[in-house]
Amino acid sequence: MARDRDPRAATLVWDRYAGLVRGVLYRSVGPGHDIEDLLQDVFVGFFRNVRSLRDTSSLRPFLVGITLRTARTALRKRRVRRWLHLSDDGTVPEVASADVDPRTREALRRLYAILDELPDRERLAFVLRHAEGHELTETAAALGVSLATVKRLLQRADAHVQARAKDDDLLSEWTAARGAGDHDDDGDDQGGDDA
Amino acid sequence: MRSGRSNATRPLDGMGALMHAGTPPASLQKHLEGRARLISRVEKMRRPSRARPALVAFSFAAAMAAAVFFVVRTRSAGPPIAWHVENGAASAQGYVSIAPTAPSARVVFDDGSDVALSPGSRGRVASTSPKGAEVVLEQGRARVHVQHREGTRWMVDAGPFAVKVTGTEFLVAWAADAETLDVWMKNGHVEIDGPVLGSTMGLGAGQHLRAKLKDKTVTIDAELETAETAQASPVNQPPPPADSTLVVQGGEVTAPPPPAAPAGPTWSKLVAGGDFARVVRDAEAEGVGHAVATRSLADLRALGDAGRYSGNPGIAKRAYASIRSRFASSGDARTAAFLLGRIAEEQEHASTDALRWYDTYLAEAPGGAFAGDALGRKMVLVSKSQGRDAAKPLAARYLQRFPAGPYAAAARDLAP
Repeated sequence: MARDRDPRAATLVWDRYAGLVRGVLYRSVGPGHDIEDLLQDVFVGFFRNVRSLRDTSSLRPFLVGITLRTARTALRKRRVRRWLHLSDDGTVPEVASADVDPRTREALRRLYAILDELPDRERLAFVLRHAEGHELTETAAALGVSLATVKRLLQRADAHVQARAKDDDLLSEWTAARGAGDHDDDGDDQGGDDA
Repeated sequence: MRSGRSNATRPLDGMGALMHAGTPPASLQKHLEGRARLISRVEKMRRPSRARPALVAFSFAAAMAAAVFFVVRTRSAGPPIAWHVENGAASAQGYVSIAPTAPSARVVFDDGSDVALSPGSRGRVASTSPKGAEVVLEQGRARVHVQHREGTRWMVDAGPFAVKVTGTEFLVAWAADAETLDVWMKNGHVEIDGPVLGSTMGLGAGQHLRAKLKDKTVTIDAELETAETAQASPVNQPPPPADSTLVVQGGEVTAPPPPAAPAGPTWSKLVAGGDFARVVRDAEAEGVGHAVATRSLADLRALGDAGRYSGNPGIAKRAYASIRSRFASSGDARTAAFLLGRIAEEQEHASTDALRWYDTYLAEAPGGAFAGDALGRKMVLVSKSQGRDAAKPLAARYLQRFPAGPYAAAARDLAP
């Protein structure tokens, strides 16, 4: 149905995946974007390209791949706008959610300010790994890079975020809450370096 | 997928949790608006278009200007051309059915044009205007004869291809399974647009075009129509005598239907365009009981959506109940169970009914498209109504089946 661009497929795919895609998009680009527009871009991109999907069991990673490309484009555009001074001052806007307490809201603002310092691929790798819980192999596949590359991306991103967050009392609350285990625990992913 | 997260020992996963905490939930309103917007865009994508993103803004402005111009012209150009079907019948949605004994069904337009649909074909008149019509060939063959007039606007959609016609005669065939378009030109000229063609392609008298989507090949030659194509009645053939226009339906010979009025938008199209209220109004005007007892599956599906989106859960429930009884073996019947659960939960706040419907859906479609949602909603409802302990087994089951699903965070909270 999706290959035929049947509107019924739009209903099914949207109902099934809009929540997932919205979440990944929001956490990837952070506040300050019109997520609904980006969401539409992802699903329109899906229907435009779905004929190239050979294995229907790969539908979810296929959609996540489109989501990441859309997020990267959005991040790139935002960077250009800031460079051209078309936006305010480059600071991260207020978090839109009214459901979070002020401390969490401030912590989010600080976290996304740190993520804004990362190159796009490192940022997206960080989000996939730590927010979406992807395995390394899945993260690599979603970003279209090798396992070795994604490890390097994550190493740099993790180091940067840790260094910037360690002296931040608000952000430290969130890292402390997750226990004091070694962060470099990539042992949950099997498979060697394919570079 | 998220086995790594379940350990929760990496400090930076706390940042992920922070991101989740800051992700605003989507309201039902936004979800529905987004869905209607997507459906509308996908509908438009079915027609070939090569507009580049950079031209979209310009195209939109041009389209708006054209629309205004068209409306003004339409109002001064008289009513849309009327049409009727010979050797067949037309449904309210414009679909043309062929009488069992007829060699073809002939759609006759009062501007002198006609379209002959071969047996086994599926086509419909999508719209008409004072200057022409849009005919959709979903499968099979159609012989098209368009009477040339000044400003004629005729379009024949065959699969993903669009054949723009000003005045001509040709045979068009679309094989949906093989994804192959054939156009045999008899006279005149057409312009064809669509995938694999590269750009708009003109075709003149005596030419034959074949476009194969699967092979991504396009050939133009002088191949003659095959014998098989001769089934479509020649348009120059005199109209069949009056007694042969009788329609055989259900073994009974009946008088032909009166000339069909120009087809209005289907309920599905109205829903896709967000006009939920009109679908509900139409159903109420027709009589909801009559509508749910006689309408097609597509209409019932649209009526259910329209009822839900417009805050008429009663109508939506009747539509879904009808789908479940009249089309019990369809996938829509199972989906209807899930949607009845959503209505009970969201619009009627009837948790017990909602749980019953979610259980029904999970029993009927354990691997269905909404299995994750049904299980997730059930988990949330049980947690609210019976406490966290009661919901723990559901949370564990959810995480096992949908470790990265939209309710995974809630499930982890219940069953860490």
